[in-house]
Amino acid sequence: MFRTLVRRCVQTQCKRLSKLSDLSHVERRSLSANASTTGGNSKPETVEDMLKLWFKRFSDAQVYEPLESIANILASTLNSNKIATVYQERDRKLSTVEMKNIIEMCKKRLQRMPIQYVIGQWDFRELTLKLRPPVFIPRPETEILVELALNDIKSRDVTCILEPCCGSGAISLALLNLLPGLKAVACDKSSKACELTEENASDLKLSGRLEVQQCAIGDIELKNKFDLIISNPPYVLSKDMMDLQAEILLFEDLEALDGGLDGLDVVRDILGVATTYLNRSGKLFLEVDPSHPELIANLLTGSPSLGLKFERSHKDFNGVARFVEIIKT
Amino acid sequence: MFVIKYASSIMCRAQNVRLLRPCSYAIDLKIGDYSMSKYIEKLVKEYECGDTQNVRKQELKPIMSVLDRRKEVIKNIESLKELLSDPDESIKKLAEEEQFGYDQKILELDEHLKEVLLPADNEDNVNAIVLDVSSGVGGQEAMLFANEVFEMYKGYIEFKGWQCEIAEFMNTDIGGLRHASLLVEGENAYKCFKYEAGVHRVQRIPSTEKSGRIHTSTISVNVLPQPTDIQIDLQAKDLRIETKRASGAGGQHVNTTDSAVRIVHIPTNVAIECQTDRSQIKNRQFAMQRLRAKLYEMQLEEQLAKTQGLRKSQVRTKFRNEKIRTYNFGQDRITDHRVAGNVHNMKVFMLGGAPLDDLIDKLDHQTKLERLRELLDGHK
Repeated sequence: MFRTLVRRCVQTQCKRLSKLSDLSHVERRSLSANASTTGGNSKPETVEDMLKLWFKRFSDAQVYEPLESIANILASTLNSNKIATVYQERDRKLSTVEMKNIIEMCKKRLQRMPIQYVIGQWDFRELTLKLRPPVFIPRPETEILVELALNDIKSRDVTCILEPCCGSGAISLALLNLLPGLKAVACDKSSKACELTEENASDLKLSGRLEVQQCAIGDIELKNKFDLIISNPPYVLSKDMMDLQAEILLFEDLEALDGGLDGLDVVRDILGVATTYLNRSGKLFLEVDPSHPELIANLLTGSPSLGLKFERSHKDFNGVARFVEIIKT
Repeated sequence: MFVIKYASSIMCRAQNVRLLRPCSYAIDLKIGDYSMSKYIEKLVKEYECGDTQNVRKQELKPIMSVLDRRKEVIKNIESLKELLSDPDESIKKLAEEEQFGYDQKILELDEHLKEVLLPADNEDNVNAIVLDVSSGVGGQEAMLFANEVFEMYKGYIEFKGWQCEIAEFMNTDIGGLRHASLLVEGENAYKCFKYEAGVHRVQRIPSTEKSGRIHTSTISVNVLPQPTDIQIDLQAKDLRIETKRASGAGGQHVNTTDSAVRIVHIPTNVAIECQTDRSQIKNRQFAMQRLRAKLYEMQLEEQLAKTQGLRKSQVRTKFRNEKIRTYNFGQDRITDHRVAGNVHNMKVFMLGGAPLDDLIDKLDHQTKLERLRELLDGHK
């Protein structure tokens, strides 16, 4: 109920913005602006023409990151994952088909679709992952979560890991890609997330070592125990949900973000899973909200029956306590 | 530079084989005024004395193997002697033909010997480098040319079959380049690219110039070997990592494409930024690699300053601010100020293929000859 309300509210807001940027209206203005910059050519032909034209359109429509948006769309058209390519091939003429695809993508971006969904992929560490709505788009912070697990796995004997709330499969696949001896079980309650994880695994030729299960955390049933559990569960506090970007609220699966009143709803479930399925001295790594490490530490001290000990919290690039490391006693 | 004296004696032998003296096959390579026979003798002695595990012995091995092959050929020539004085004309003719073949072989081996005698640079086996291209004097025109040189190097890397990653690319509005950084990996990458370091000068009528005047602008190229973790050990406590995501809640709350990373090395205050990749951790890795290379260079400069009694700024001038090459578009000519002769056909040269590779080979050969001469000076 709450989620539908949020969505409707954001949608009307964005429609208002979109009206401001009514396509035909903007087209006329941008084209005349373009004509003055490209010396009389009224029709955009090159990569650079499109870059300038759509930078202006996105700016007029108040699209977030207007330049990055069009640059990424053009880079994807040029089959590159680097924006630098766009500037290097700025004089390249675009074919009619390419033009059509670019405009198709730009229209999606005008509707506030996240750029990662628009171009259908994004990079996570060493991998390029397929992404599509509404499966959660991995954030850069999670690359560090992988780094923490990676250092831990290298320091001891870890053969099998579990990843609840796998989304696009980013965490498991990044680890499997770097550690050829490792096996992983990933699960998510969303069937779309599970499908995407499997697709990404097969694209990256890692499906042989990954088992994907569709189930809610609470209903998890597994044959064996694990040396490590890692997850980026929904952790946004319900009160913060309204403040999220339009891109997130309109297109991402809000269940992948909303962690309930204190943001710990799913984290608590995962602690339960860790109690049951973590081997002795096994570790649990979680990405959480900066308000959480202290709460989780208190929770574990208060419930010795869980058999879990709070080891430490780790900071992200910005010096914010973003990750927790927990050990099974 | 090399003078091969016995070339004339081979001509004599062809005319009259009876003039043949066995000693004419002694090695007679020269560099300037110095004969290399003594130097080679010394190397042979050094080789025979050293034990098998010796690193130096491994270095000398190729030279010794050429010398051995040379001895083998001389032995064959010796055994021809009798046949050459055979009264039967047909046998004599066959022997002469065979002798000619051996003489050719000796010439070939001596050429080869010259190559293996040239001393290798310690850093020549470095296969990972950081290549920086920056625009210098000349505003927009310098930036446009920086972009062209950058493209030329990308072509060269492709030509050599090496791998590269763009670690930084700061462009300007009209297609110019302020600064770009490439991480290059491939066999002999440092050996080849080290000759590109310095100031490159361009003379032409810029596309931005209305009155048709010829401008002179410069760009600079810097080539750094990527040091190992042991050579430059970065401590986490010495680093400050900054991202543009710093403001706001971060994590799941935000969706942005901004993956820029800036690393500050606190003790030296060196800052490196990287934003070319879509993955933040890869940008951090690139920035770390460039930071390592930068610190390594500073360390090397300091060492050089110490050993040569120079001030740091002087070292910098000596090794980086030297004008090495001029690209004159009007005359379609490339002049490298370190070697004699010009290269023509700018369009092809700027593709970074064989012409650039040839020039680099020439530079490499000349530098090695100079170093060999320095070595010989020590053995005079």
